[in-house]
Amino acid sequence: MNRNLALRRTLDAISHLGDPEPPWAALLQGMQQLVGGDSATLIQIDCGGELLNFQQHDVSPAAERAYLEHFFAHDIVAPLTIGAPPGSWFDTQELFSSSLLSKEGFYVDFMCPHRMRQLLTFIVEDSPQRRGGLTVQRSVSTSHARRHLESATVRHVAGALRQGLEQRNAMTRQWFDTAESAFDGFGEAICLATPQGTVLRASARARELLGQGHSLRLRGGRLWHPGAEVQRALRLALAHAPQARQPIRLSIPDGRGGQSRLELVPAAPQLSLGREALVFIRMRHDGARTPPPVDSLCSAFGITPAEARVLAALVAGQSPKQHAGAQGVSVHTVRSQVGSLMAKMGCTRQAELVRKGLLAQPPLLETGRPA
Amino acid sequence: MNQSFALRRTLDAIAHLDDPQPPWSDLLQGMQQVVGGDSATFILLERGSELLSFQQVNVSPAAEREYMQHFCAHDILIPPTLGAAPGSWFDTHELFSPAFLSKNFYYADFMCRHSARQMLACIVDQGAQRRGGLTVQRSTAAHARRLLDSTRIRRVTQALRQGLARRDERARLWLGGAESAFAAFGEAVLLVTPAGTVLRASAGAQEFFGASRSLRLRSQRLWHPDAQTQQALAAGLRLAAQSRQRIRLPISGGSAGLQELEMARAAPQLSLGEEVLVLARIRPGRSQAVPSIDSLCSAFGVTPAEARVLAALAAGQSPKQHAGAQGVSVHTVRSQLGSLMAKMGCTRQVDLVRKALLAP
Repeated sequence: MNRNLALRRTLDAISHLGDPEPPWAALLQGMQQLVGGDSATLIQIDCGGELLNFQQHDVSPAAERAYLEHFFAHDIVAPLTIGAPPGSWFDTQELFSSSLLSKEGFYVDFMCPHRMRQLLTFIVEDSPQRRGGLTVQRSVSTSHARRHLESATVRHVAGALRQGLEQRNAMTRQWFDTAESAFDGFGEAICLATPQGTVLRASARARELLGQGHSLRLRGGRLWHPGAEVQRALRLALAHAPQARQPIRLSIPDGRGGQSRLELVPAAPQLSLGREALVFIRMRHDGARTPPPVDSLCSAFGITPAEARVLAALVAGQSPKQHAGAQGVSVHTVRSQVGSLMAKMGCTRQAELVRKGLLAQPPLLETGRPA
Repeated sequence: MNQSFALRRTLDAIAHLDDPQPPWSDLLQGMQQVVGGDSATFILLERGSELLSFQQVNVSPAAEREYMQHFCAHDILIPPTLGAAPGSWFDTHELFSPAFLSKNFYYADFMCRHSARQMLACIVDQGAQRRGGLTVQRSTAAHARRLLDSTRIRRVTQALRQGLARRDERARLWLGGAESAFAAFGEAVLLVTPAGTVLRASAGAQEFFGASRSLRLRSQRLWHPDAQTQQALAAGLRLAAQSRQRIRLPISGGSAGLQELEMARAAPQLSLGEEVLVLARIRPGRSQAVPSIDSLCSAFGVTPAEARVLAALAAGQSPKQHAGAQGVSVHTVRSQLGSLMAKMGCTRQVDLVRKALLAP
């Protein structure tokens, strides 16, 4: 293809990086043509070394499968690019001698069988939580790649790409900041995480919540809970959230009678840099809940105030005997009131009374913290 | 004060209209000086005539009180400015003849008594739900049209219009972002005045009002057919605006059964002037459904099989019914119950139900 056309197409794709779902295929194709290669990939990795995203252009299905299933863990470029600023280029021909490559499994068993002799990688992101690179693969290696990468055309495109990615990042930040202040008004914390639990962004309230020494906290940048079952449920919820049609709800005890309530949903596409699936989480911390007041129970179930007091006591966790003792009435009176409650509320067991009592009206007023 | 200094100060205050809480007093003071008057007010009205916000510089407390309590409803500038484009100026000296004014009690009993003989008002907002104007009061009336048409005033007016348009655009973006964030959780949002006028409603909220047989809009106001709920709604909106409390109001009759309206004071960048607005969201009510298995596992550190037993109890089944439904022996279920009691620190089945329902 005409190089000018390729340049225009690439710059056009780059200018759409502000869209919720940018034309990544066109962008990868354009970069491949401009840099001069046979295929191109966009790869993102989280801080724990897990693969977040793999997008490609002209990579064979066999090569993609081999990379995802096995060779990703042995990628020779990824470890060398840690800490490299976005916008820098890496060239395998420069990094490794041919004698080293001939002994390297990734080169011999992956690159060569899939007709790749040289990788040229452009760093698109490098943060403590996540890094990413756009790589062009060449079937013939050249020692002059650096000269081409430093040509005016490639520098121009690389500069535009960096700017486009920064704009996308700024847009994401603005969306998140807006959401933070909106949810904060209702006392809720938010964070953006990978399906592996790496927290990419967290609202001030979320950082406070996770930093308070409650059982739910961050470990190595990931959401973590010391309880094995809780941790298992958390991991499952995070993994399922990107495909969930309904919010996934989790409630995690704080070990002090209260709990953190989490709701996980798929994150909007504009929160992703590439096409990585992310999870948007909101959390709130509730202290121990107060039972519904007696008069609201009366009106909800058409019961007498004395009966409502018995119901409230059951809901609060007292036994009929404890309630009788506390009220200074005989346990027989309470038992007959329980019988009357069962009749009026259509229940046959105490557990059902408690269930209905709890599902009655929620408390009307929730006191927020002064901002 | 030096005119060019006043102009600079005013333009500087206008440049800060993007801030969440712009320097409204500086703006009013600057406008008063640039236009040449003795006091200035910024008034927002909802639904045409009800006072939403009143801000002033150099207005006496007595005049402010009388205006808010009584004379607002008789303001002679409100009817002629209806429908006027933002940025247009109105002058009482031009609009009304001396004969008319001398017989008008707003002029005689309010303006004159508080030594205001002329008012120059610039329209700053003209929406279906909300209108606003910035007014400069003068103690001596004089022809003002030449001044109002001068380059200096035109420049300030233009800057003010643009500043307010930018602020409006920011508020719109903020709400658009908030809408999409809440929509991810199946919640709809609306921006409401403390009197219940809906200034903006998300697509989800509009859909809700379209289908709702309970909470809906009546001439752009939140309205509930049940008098008691309507009262609670009005009280809730006022309380949410005045305090930092969040108010939750259960509302039934939506298409999806029980829902609730949660109200909280809106972020200041959504307001014009010092008006206080309320951000409300419509959300599914506390779920009547059984908590999910995953959620029970995480809440109590129990195994999935135990969580299924717990969910069955919370749904109102007996252990025997659950055993039958799952095709396991009742002994298995009883031993799972024992394990649940141990893990959850309970001694009775009713406590298990209680904890399960309180958790998620």
